Amino acid sequence: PRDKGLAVDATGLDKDALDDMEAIFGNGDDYGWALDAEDDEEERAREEQ
Amino acid sequence: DNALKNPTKRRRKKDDIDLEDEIDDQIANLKVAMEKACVADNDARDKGLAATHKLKLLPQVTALLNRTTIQDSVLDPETNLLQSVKYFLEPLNDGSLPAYNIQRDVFNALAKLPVNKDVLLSSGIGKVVYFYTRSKRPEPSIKRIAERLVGEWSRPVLKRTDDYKK
Repeated sequence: PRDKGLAVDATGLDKDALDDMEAIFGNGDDYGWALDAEDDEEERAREEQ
Repeated sequence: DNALKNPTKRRRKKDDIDLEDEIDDQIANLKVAMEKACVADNDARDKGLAATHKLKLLPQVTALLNRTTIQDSVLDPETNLLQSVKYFLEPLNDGSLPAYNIQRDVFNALAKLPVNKDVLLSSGIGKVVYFYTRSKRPEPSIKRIAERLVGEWSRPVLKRTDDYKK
């Protein structure tokens, strides 16, 4: 499993800044399907070895 | 009366507006072509064919993105060219990334643009760039640009709170 969300230190950030960050970069799920497909492919490759 | 005294000045202004309209038209046409190419590439992939439509359009896309004199139009949230650029970088339906040349040329062009918060919000380009930082598929050189862009683009958003505290 991969880290979700941005690798920023959220301490001291106000809600507006966090909302902006999410509006700009998404919540980490936007292309989750593609990341899942990647993990599946990797797993299949490992099993085939 | 003024126009008679200084006809060249007036002419230039009108030409500027004409040129701006022309560029906006050019961008609008390219956007349509880009979106069609994305659909066509996905269709090709579904049929097991090579996805070549975006690649064919790539020189036109990078030419426009790299033209420094029209950056205002390129980055206009209403023209929203970066939204189509986002579609260009998105993974295809099977999860594969667009061709390496597309990634390389588009990321290099993005790195040179003074992208602001308004166009980030209207285009959603940050979401796909962020995806490139998380995916294991891109080449390290592409991932490095993606990581740098996420850092650069988040700085003004995060800085505001720092200023607040001071």
